This record gives sequence, structure tokens and C-alpha cells, in this order.
Amino acid sequence: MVLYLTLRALLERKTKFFLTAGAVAISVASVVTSFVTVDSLRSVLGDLAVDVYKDRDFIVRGALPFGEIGEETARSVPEQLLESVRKVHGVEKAEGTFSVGGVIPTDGSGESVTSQIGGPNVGLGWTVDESLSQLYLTDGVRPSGISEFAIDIISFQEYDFMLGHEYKLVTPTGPRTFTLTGIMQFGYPDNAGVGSVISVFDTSTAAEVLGYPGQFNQISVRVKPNADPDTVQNQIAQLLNDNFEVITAETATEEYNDVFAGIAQLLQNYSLVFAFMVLVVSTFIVANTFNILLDQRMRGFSLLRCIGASPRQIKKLVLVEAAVIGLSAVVVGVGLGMLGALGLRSLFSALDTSIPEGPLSLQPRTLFWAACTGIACTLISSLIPAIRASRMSPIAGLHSHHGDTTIKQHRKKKRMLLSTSLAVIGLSSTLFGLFFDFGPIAPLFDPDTDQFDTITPQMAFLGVGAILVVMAVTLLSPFVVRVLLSRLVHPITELLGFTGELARKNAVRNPQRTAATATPLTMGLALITLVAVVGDSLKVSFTEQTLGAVEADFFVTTDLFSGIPETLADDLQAENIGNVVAFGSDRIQILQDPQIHKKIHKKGADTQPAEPIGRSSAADEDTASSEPEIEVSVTVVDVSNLQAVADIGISAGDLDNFDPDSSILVYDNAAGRLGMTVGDNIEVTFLTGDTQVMNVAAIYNHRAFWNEWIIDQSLHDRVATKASDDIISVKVSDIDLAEVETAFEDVLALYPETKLEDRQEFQETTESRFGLLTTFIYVFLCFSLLIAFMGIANTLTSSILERTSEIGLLRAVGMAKEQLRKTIRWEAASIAWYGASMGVALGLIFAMVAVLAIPDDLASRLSIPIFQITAILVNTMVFTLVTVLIPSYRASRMEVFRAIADG
Amino acid sequence: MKKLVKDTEKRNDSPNPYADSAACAVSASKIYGSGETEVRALDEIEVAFPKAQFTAIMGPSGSGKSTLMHCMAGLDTLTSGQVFIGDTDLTKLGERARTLMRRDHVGFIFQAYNLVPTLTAEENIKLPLALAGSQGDVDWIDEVIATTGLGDRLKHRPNELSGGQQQRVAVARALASRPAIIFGDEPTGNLDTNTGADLLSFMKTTVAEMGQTIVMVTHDPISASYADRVVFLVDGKIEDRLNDPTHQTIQNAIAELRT
Ligand SMILES: Nc1ncnc2c1ncn2[C@@H]1O[C@H](COP(=O)(O)OP(=O)(O)OP(=O)(O)O)[C@@H](O)[C@H]1O
Ligand SMILES: [Mg+2]
Repeated sequence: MVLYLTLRALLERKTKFFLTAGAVAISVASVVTSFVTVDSLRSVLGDLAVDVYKDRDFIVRGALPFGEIGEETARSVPEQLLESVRKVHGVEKAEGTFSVGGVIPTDGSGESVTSQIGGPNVGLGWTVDESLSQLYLTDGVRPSGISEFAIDIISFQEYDFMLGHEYKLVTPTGPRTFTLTGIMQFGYPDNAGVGSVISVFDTSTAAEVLGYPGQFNQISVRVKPNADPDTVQNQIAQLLNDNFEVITAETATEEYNDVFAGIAQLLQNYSLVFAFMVLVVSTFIVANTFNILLDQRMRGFSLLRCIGASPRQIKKLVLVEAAVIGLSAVVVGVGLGMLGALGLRSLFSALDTSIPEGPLSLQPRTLFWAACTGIACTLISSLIPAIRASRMSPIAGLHSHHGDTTIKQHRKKKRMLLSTSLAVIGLSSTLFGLFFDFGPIAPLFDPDTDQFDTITPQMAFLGVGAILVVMAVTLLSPFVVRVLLSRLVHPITELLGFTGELARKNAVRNPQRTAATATPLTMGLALITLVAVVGDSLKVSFTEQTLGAVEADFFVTTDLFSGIPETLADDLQAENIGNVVAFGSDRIQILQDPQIHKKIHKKGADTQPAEPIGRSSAADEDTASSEPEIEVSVTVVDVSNLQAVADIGISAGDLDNFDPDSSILVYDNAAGRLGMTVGDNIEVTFLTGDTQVMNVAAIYNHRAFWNEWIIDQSLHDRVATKASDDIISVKVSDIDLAEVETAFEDVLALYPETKLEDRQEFQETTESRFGLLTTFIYVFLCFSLLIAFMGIANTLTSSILERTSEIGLLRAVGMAKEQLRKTIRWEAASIAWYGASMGVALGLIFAMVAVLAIPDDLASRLSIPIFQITAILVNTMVFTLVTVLIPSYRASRMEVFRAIADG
Repeated sequence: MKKLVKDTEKRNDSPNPYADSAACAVSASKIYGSGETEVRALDEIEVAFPKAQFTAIMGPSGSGKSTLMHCMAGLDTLTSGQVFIGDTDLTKLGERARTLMRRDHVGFIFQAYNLVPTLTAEENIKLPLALAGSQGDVDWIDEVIATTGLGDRLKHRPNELSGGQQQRVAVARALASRPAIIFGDEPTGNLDTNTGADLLSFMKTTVAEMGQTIVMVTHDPISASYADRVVFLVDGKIEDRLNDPTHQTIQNAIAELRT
């Protein structure tokens, strides 16, 4: 009976059913979209990680003294080691292999071949045994000799290649020409190498072309079927000194996959925050929808009770109703959400955020949260009026009318008190975070990886402060709506005449509802403003600092992960036009132990310390606070030439004292953190395992595209595992820049994927890089705004329903349809304007605090992108007006006399 | 507008008998539904409301009183026939023109929900003018406001006014734009006898002193006796007319109609 009653009621009040179910479905859809997007990103990145080491038992490779394999390049394995490994009892096969980044083929049409989804460009050596290299020939023959290569099948299909033709390849040892003899795929039967551009050479060619004469990257080992793998591993291990290690293929695969998992995890952590934000906003909207229909529902329940329904029956009715609404909303919402995720995915690819595309992934967790939003929220939101109605006398309930009530006095006081105390706590937390000296902390922004590092205590205080302030503002919002709307909106609605005025009055008639409707918009815009202002401040500061410190006229850059081949700098220098200075970077480990420090002093600065650094101790313990070893990024540059292109701002010491073999330069912030002064000795470990005592020759205080540590190119050449540059800067002596440009372009033509930029262009690309960083965040934030707009449309639809008779009256006394539509539009606009200006104001405040908190060398000054923020505001208003088109159209379509009768 | 008048003249082929009425209906029919469920709410009705007169419409529930009001005020459209406000044939007007007609030439008073809750009493009175974006006749409005006797309550919102005061505001609003005619659908229906009587005398005064035309639906013979004329509606047809009615003559007429 109850079920029948409920279903009848739902079907009869179709508008209301679709309204509530629609609101819930949209919320569910938003949640699904955000979670699916996040999970898909993860699975796409996960797909890149493949079983690359299948069919091998062990890998012998150079051990990293610190850091993680995958992120860093290990030292290579000498040829002699292969012979020894082959002789180990139980080894069936052992082959030296190569895998080196930065090999870029140019296809027949002159286009350079790069991965479609941001994978690496690698060069491999083809081992004699196919199964050890995982390469399978699909067409042609295997390359042999110095002038032949094979390419992966995907690149072959997507670019212009023909077997037997000659193609140019940029390699770590410079541009070379090869004949394409074969097409291969990586892994079998599936092409596991999807996402990479793979060029393959025979082993000895690979050694030469990839820059490893007489060496291998790794040795792959297969054990005889009857041998005991553990014994074999032990035996191989005995052949190796500390600089090498033998690991199982599983371990290698895990490591390889971990790298991707790490990236995916990071992405997911960031985007999960947004997904949960969307969840919060969505529950807001569901609750708000039910809240608006509260009166009507209360009256309905009371009527039923007057007729004789028991409170139990009413609760049951509500439960059934909520279940029907919730379930249908979840079903529709999940479908819509998947569509949304599809849309978001194409948006990402349209925006060229270099986020790989992949299949959508719907995880059980997503369904769980979808059900939570849909069913649980609906249940709670609809049970509240039912319980209230069952407590009230039926007659009192019949006459309940909340539509125009202001907040009750006692609740008002409580709210005021709560929000004030929240605001006070929030502000003090913020101030504390800003001005308390937390002592030397690690830099919160790692300029080398372009990532914000772990959360510092300062960040935590600021974050908690910001959250509390937002909560206080949300609670206070209903009280300030009326005042603010007259301040902010009145001047505008005045211009719009009577309908504008009517709209503003409608917007404030239920401050709580308006506040609740505007809050998602406020939150979204606050975050967007924050990101915009902080991003712009970082950008402007960075650009100012960079251009201030750099004196070069031209820059050669690349977007490739593998960097610029070192030979390019030499080729440019050979043009003899000016000073060419290449900047590379590497990871090093610094040991600053005072004991050693003293010991070294006694022994003399140029002798090596007795004990080498154990490879495991360094890697495992560098997080311990007592551990004086730190891993840093170092810039590698020809220091003697550095001053020709850049003013690094020497604040202590002198570059004249710089000894290329044993001197290091330190940025003053880093020196300050570590308490170092000119003349100090530190022990530096390179990725090859080589260690060297180095002397701080000078301290500098300008930074641009160089790191906090600088060493000389000549030293690095001896100890490097990596031979590529990040950026080449050129200071020309010639006045005619155009002439210089043409001269350089001839050289650059040999190096695809490199760009020559003058100062202006360089500034622009630098700035656009910051833009790309924020695009991803923007897209997610815009998504949450979209939900906010839907919330506004929803509130208005419900309000219109609630005001049917009033609208009928207005139409009866002569309000024209377009006047009515205008009123509704401006009401929405008032709400949006209120929410948006609050959001921008909050965002600006947060941004100022954030810029204050970010160290000066990253954000030296506040820069407010006024144009951008104005554009966001304008867009917000336009979107609001668009979203209420439907509700306003529907309202104007109501038949006047029926609207009156409905009252 | 001249042309429209000519059209009707041509159609009737005789001088319009209602030429000097404020509003009239010419063989007006309104049919709801079709086939089995067809309801003839108005059945070829002929009625005219003379200028500066107070007309009451009476009739049993479902007789089509509200329908007649709505159609004559341009809130709803006829199935066939014509409705004139002054010289204008409403049935020839589009939706927009009818809205403007209502705003500028027709006043309306409902049983309830007469006022916009967000506006003050004064703003409600000036609502049609505000919608037209005009100041209106300031002296006239002052006069109207003065006759409502609301004085100090003008700045109050509707929910701060009594039911009677609210209905007065509604009448004042209907008067504000000096409409050709005011329609009221049971304007006293929600009021107690005394308050209702006050409102009715107020309406009577506006007719007598300001020359306003008012048409009002009512169920109550006493209310109807305030009018200059009573029209009786049964099953969508005019069954009887009564001039200068008293309580007693109305009672009699009703009794007669029942038999
Ligand atoms: N929208 C509609 N759809 C179908 N029939 C309708 C509609 N509106 C009114 N009717 C019918 O038209 C007839 C006249 O209705 P109307 O509302 O004009 O009566 P009334 O005289 O005002 O009655 P009351 O005194 O109860 O207000 C009634 O039979 C009614 O059922
Ligand atoms: Mg009626």
C-alpha cells in the first residue's frame, strides 16, 4: 500500500520527481566522472609499465650509490664482465644490452618521430638471442653493422618510413644516417613497447652510437633449466664489486613499474582531492534541493497524518521514496558520469596537457561513493523533514511555511558564535603559519622536478587556517547575503530597473538557501583565484629572476625528456659566432659530516677519503635526520664561460679561485640551510659511485635555469652517467641577430625537436610552462564550477516551483514573459555574483598569504592576473545565465490562470 | 484598434449593442477537454459590463465564473467567440499584447496570493506601473493610497499585514494604473464578514467616486448586494440579471434559479 502510494505520488508530481532525482543524478555523475578520470589516469600510467624483463632470470647492472634506478641512470657494465658472467656455472646465456634515451629518428617527410603519449625515445641493442632482448622481427631483416637500424612497428605505421631507405637519427653521439632494414615489435605476441619510440641497432653499433664503447647498459642472464637460480645468483654476485649488482628479473620489473606507480600515485593524490571536493559540493546540492522542497514535503506529510497515517507509515513512505529516487538517480548518474569522464578525457587531449588517453576505468570504489552520494544523501535529506513532520502536530505542519523565514534567533546566535570562533582560530593558525619561525626546512618546491614536495608544518598551518576560514565564511554567509547583495548587486540591479530589483529581492528572500547555493561557487572560485594568482606570481617572479640573471641572446631548448645531445653545443660553438654555454644537470649526493670535514682538512683537500660510501647505506638512510648525506640536483656547466651568458650574482668567494676539478658553487639559500661558507669542503658522490672531495669556491644568489649547486663540465665528463644538456645559451658578439639566427638554424636542422629562441621567445615559453602546470588544476576546478552552476539552476527550478502562484500573479498583473525570464536570470546572476565575488575575495586573500609563505626565491612578489580573473568572473556570469535558460524558459511557459489556481 | 472595432461591426452586421461597455463577451465559449470528457465551461455567453458600474457575478460552483473572469481579463483564451476590453478584441491579440493589455488596462484581484511577498505594500501597489517602467499618474496614486487608509503600513511587507489590509492593497494595486476594468475573483472569500464589508464599501466607493468599473465574483448574497448589478451564471450561460440588488432580491433570484 505504502509502495503504491509512493509510486503514485512520484509519478503524479513528475516535475518534482525529475527535479530531485535529476539533482541527485547530477551529483552522482560528478562524483563518478571525477573518480573515473582519476582511476583511468592511473590505469593508463599503469599500462605503460610492462613486463619488460620477461624470459630473463637475472640482470647484472651498475649499482646506484644513491637514488632510485629508473629515475637515474646507473653506470654501465664493462664488456669483460660479460665474459666472466658467461663462465659462471649454470648460466645458459648472457648478453649485454643497451637501452639509452634520446634517440630520435626523422621520417621520410622530415618529421621527427616522438611518442604519441609522452613515452620515451629509446635506442636498444639487439642481442643475438631474441628472447633475451624481447625484440621480435615483424618484417625485413635484423640490422647489422654501423649503418643499419630497425624501428618499432607502431612508429613505422604512424610515420613515413620505408624499408631499405636511409633516415637520419639523432643519437647521444650526434646526428647519424642509417638504413632501415627491419621492423620489430617489443614483446610477443603483444607489442609491450607501446608508448615508446624504439630504434634498434646491433650490439656493437649500439655501443658506439649510444656512447658506450666497450660497455653495456646491463647484462641479461638466463639460467640453465637444471641449475639452482639462487646458487647462480650468488656466484654472479661474487664476481661483482660494490659498483655492480645482480638482481632477479622480477625485482627489475617491480622497480620499473614502481616508477610509473609513483607518478600515477602522485597524480591520483592530487586529483583525488578534487574528486572529494566534487563529492562535498554534490552532497551540498542534494541536501539543498531537499531543503527547498521541505515546506511542500512537510505539508504533504502533515496532510497524510491528518488523514490518519501513522508516523511509522510516513517514515516508511519516505524511505521507499528516497530509495526509488536514489536508485534511479544512481543508475542514470553512473551513466552520465561515464559520459562526463569521456568528455573530460577529450578535453584533456584537446588542451594538450600531455596526459595520456586510455580506456575508462570504473572501480568498485567509484560505485561505492556514487551509491553513498545518491542513496545515503537522499535518505538523510528526505528523512529529516519526515521526522520533523512526525514530531509536529499535523495542523502545525500543514501551515508550516519556511520559504521566507529568516534564521531563527537562537540558532542565529549559535551560528554567529561558531563561525566567529572558527574564523578566529583559522586566522590565528594562518598568522602563526606565516610568522612563526619553523627553523630551516627543506624547500617546499623542488625546482628540479617541478613538484611541490611534502607538506611542511608551515603549509599545514596555512592550510588548516584556510579551511577554517572557508568554513566560517560558509556559516556566516546567510547573514551577510542580504547586506552584501545590496552592496554588491544593488548598484547593478538599479541599472536594470524594476525586474533587476525584483530579482535581487528574490535572491535575498531566503538567505540560507542563497548562501547554500552560492557556496560551491565560492569554493570553486576561491581555489581558481588562488591558483591563478599564485601561478602568476611564481611565473612573474621566475621570469623576472631568470631574465635578470641571464644575459644570453639565444637559447636552445627541447621538450624531450632525454634533453639535448651534448654534441649540439660543440656544433654551435664551431659556428664561431659567440659564446655558447650548455647547461646540463645531474643528481649528486653531498656528505657534509663535520668529522670527515675535519679529517679531510688534516689530510689535505685533494685526497680522497679512505672509506667509500656504501651503496645501501646511502640509499636507505638518507631520510634519517642525523644523516648528513643529502641528494641534490647539480647544474653542470663550463664555469669559465658561465659569466659570458649569465650573472649568477657571486655574494661570497670568487670565481677566479674556481678549480674545475675540485670546486663547487653553492646557492646562498642552500648554503644558509646547511650552514656552509666559502672554503668549506664537502664530499660529493656521483651516480657512477665515484666520490670526490670538493671545495666551496663561491656562493651565488641569482638563480634562473640552474640549480642550487654548480660543478664544472670537465669534472662531470669524467664521472657522468649521462651526457645530455638541458639548455644551451648563447651570447653573440655579432650585432646582427637575424644573421646569427640563420647561421644557427642550419646546425639545429640536424637536431630535430630542438628549438632556437631569442630572449622574447624564451620568456614566452618559460611563462607558458607555468601555464601548462596550472591547466590540469584548472580543468578539475572548472568541473567543480560546472556542478556549482547546476546547483544554481537546480535551486532556481525549485524556487520557481515553490513560487508558482506568485509568478502567476506577476504575469496576471502584466509582467511580460521576457520580463519574467529576465527576473529569473538576474536572480541567478545575483546569487552567482555574490558567490563569485566572495570566492575571488577569499582566493585573493589566500593567494596573498600563500605568496608570503612561499620562499622569496620562488615568489618574490605578488602578481594578480587581473585580466584572467576578470575573464573568470565574466565567464562565471555568462555560464550562470546560460544554465538558467531552461528554468526561466519553463517559468515563462506556465499558463497564468493555472499558476494562480495551483496556489 | 479602430480597425478591430470595424471588424466586429462588420461581423455583427449591426451596431454593437455593447459599444459603451467597459468590457463585453460576444457569444463566448470555452470548452475544456474533448469527446467524453468535454466540459463546456462557457456556453455562447453574451455579457457586457457597463462603464463606472459595480457588477457582481454569482452562480453555483462549477458554473464557469472563474473561467469567465480569466477569459475576459486575457489570462486565458476562448475556444470561440470574442472578448472586448474597451474597443479592443482580446481574441485577436497575441500573448505579448494580451500581457500589455492586462498591465495597462485591466486590474485583477484574487482570493488569495494577491501580493508579491518580497515587495512592500507600496511597491505592490505600484507593481503594474513598475512593470511598465512608468511613473504613472502620481496624484492619482496618492489618492488611491490615501483611500486605502493604510497610511503608516505602506512600508510593510505583505506578511506583516492582516488579510483585509492585504486585499486593500490588492484593490489599490488594481486601481493604480487606472484600468478600464477591474476583475475580482472572490476577493472577500478569505475575509471575515466585517473585514469583507469594509473592502466591499471601499470598492463601491471607487466605483461611485472615481468612476471605476469593477466586476466581482462572489458566492455571498450580502457581498453581491454592494454591487449595482448582479449577473447569474448557470452551466456557462447567463440565466438572470438583476439591477440595484438588495440582499432580499438576490436571495429570491437564487431560489428561483434553483427550481
Ligand atoms: N483546466 C481545466 N480543465 C478542465 N476543466 C476545467 C478546467 N478549469 C475549469 N474546468 C471546468 O470548467 C467548469 C467551470 O469552472 P470554473 O472554475 O469557472 O467554475 P467556478 O464557477 O469558478 O466555480 P467555483 O465557484 O467553485 O470557483 C467546471 O466544471 C470545471 O470543472
Ligand atoms: Mg472559481
